[in-house]
Amino acid sequence: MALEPPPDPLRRALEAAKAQDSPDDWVVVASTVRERVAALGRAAPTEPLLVRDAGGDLVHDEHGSRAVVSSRAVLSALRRLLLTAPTHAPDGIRLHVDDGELTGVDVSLVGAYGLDLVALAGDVRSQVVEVVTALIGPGGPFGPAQVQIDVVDVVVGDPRVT
Amino acid sequence: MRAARLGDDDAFAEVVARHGPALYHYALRLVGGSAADATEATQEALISAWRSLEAFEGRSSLRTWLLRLVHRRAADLQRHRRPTPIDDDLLSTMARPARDNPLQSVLDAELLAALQAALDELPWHQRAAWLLREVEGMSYDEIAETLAIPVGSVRGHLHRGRKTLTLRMERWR
Repeated sequence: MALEPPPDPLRRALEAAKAQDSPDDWVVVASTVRERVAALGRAAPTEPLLVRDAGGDLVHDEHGSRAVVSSRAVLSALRRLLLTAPTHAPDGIRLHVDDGELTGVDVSLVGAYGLDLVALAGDVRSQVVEVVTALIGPGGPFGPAQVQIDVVDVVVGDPRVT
Repeated sequence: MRAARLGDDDAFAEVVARHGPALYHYALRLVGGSAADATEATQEALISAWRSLEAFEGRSSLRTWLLRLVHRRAADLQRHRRPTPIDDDLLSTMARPARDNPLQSVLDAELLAALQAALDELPWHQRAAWLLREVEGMSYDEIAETLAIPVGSVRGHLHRGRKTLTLRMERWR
């Protein structure tokens, strides 16, 4: 019975290298990266946004301090909102803030192929207004007219996973 | 990926979990097995990725882009810690076929240690090109993108790297 010759040593070493599990050190590296990312936030500065009631008055807490919502919280809520349906995904979200007031939201969207994009933009605009006003109140300068929706790409399948 | 680009750190954590181990392995092998250097190169590259994700235009794959960041950081570390230029022809160490002839069935650990030792003797670009091609399975174009060198140079580095590694590993036959 003929024995097969052993594979060449470089090939064996390569296969062993490919089969290697993550080194224990990786756990520490990953943990440090997570901590640093959380501490850093993103380059965009976080701004406090004033909260106004339906009458347009500033909302205060029981101690008389003005209520504010972080722009980061608004961005985070919009990100979650825009990733909930398989019909579209966000490609960019930009907030316009003037003297503590949210004055506009620009949303760049990627839509799924075959959709009515005008209808999609309308739906998304309504949802954005709903989410934002739930956070900063309905009485400020922000409304549907301040939401700019741009569909920047159309892809086949679920845009959230492309 | 889209969520990570928009500043979602949970989504970025998924990117790290998916690509991080390969990035760390690549860094580790590239810097001669130094866990400290590999850790620093990988961490700094991932933090840099987080800061600049918004500018990532998707002209290369995410993996290629991340590997390029790791490669740059590792190269910076090597430049600062070892006074050796990254010049293949100047640094090339001629490998000699092994004189001894150990048993064929060696433990993977020993084989890997031998591979690392052989890799350490390779010039920088040969080492990187071989790792990216053989371990990471990248195309020549992707390697060229990662190393910021022409595709023709990738072929040359790879050819010389393979030849030297084959010679250096002969003792394990």
